[in-house]
Amino acid sequence: MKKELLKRTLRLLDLPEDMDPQVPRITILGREKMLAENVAAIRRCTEHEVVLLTGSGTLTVGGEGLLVKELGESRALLTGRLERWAYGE
Amino acid sequence: MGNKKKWQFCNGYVIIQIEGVYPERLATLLKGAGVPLWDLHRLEAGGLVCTLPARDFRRLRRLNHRCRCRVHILKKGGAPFRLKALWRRRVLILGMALTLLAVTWCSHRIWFVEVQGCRRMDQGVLLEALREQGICPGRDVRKLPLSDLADLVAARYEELAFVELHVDGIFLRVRAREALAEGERLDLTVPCDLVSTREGIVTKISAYGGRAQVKVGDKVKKGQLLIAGHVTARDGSMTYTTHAYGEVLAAVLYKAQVEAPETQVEWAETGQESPYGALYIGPWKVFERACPFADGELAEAQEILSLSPWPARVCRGTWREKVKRERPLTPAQRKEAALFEAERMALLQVPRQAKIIMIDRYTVERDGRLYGVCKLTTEENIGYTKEIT
Repeated sequence: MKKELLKRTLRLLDLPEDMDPQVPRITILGREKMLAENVAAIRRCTEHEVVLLTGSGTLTVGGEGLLVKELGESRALLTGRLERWAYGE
Repeated sequence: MGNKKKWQFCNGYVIIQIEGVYPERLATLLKGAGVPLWDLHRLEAGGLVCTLPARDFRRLRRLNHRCRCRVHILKKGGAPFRLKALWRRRVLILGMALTLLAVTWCSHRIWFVEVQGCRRMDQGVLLEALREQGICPGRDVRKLPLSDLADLVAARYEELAFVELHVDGIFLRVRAREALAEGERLDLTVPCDLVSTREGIVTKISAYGGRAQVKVGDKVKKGQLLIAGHVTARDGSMTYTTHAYGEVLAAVLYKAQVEAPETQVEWAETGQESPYGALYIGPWKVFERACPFADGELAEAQEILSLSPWPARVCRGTWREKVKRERPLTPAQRKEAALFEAERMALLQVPRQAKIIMIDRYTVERDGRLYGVCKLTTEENIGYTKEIT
């Protein structure tokens, strides 16, 4: 209900949807860098898999030699060889 | 090293290993508390390794109570830890700080003065003139109006047409352009005459262009034609104008007459004394006890303490009060004083390039007054070019 209200307000004010702090924004640069913003928590971190918790569910990133280069207040910068990524519940 | 790495190094960092059932939870708590983490990765053995700012390490210990993880410090790095290790060697730190200060202090001053463009003029004279304006090695000249001071120095010497001062690091580059001498100003293609600048008796004449109008032994007046630019062919068939030039030397007389003084002003000590003290750092006077008398002279100033190897010196001495007194002169002293002053006044009239060939000094009495007279005879080039209009 709260999420829906926020979405409607943003639409009404003609603001982009990524203003919503619950919506994750993911930027991938090549196959070696991924910047995930609006990240709530880190669930798992291994060399082959990093699981992040976002407002849209868990974000699973798979690959080789993964490293969380930077973990800030709401963003995570992942480096390594990215092979796949997927949302889960 | 990137900017982020530099900041990380300056602020200090700690590399930690988190062990426990769920180390990611501690990482999330840290993230939520606003503690940035870098290079987060899992070890094969099972621990989670990450880097965090040194100042946030204490917060980690508080948050860890909720996770029950074990935290090991793998490495402490960055400037704060290195400085802490150095802190025991205080003399070294003091030396480094003083060296840094000295280098900073020295780099704001000029230490070398390079003069370019002085051919006829003595470089020493130019450097002395600059020194009088406060421009010398060891001074911070960046705040001085260099352009104005350069103009002032250039205006002081007639040999100089232009002076430019340019500070380049610890070098002061002085570029001087000398003024052209009389007779050099006109181009050789311009028709002109050579005329006399002073009254005198011609001792030598060499006409390289034009026709000589005077001969050795002739008495010439100021402005008189010496070498004419108007030339008529020997057979009188044609007349043309040319650039007259040559060397005309003449014996020129300079005379000065000064009345002999009745008295002489001299400084006499009253016997009053006051202590003097001064502190020097390098060539600069940091403190000086001022003279308490209206007129005083510093006597017996000597260095009493030198803080070697630091460039600090302490000097002590005595101020002695002096007053002006007029002393009547004997006839012989009056004569000598008049002759000395007359010679000085005559010498002041002589141009720099003139060669003094005779000095005649004598005294005369006129209307009951005694005068000192000095006559100087010089040999000098009296010709200068004057364009034919």
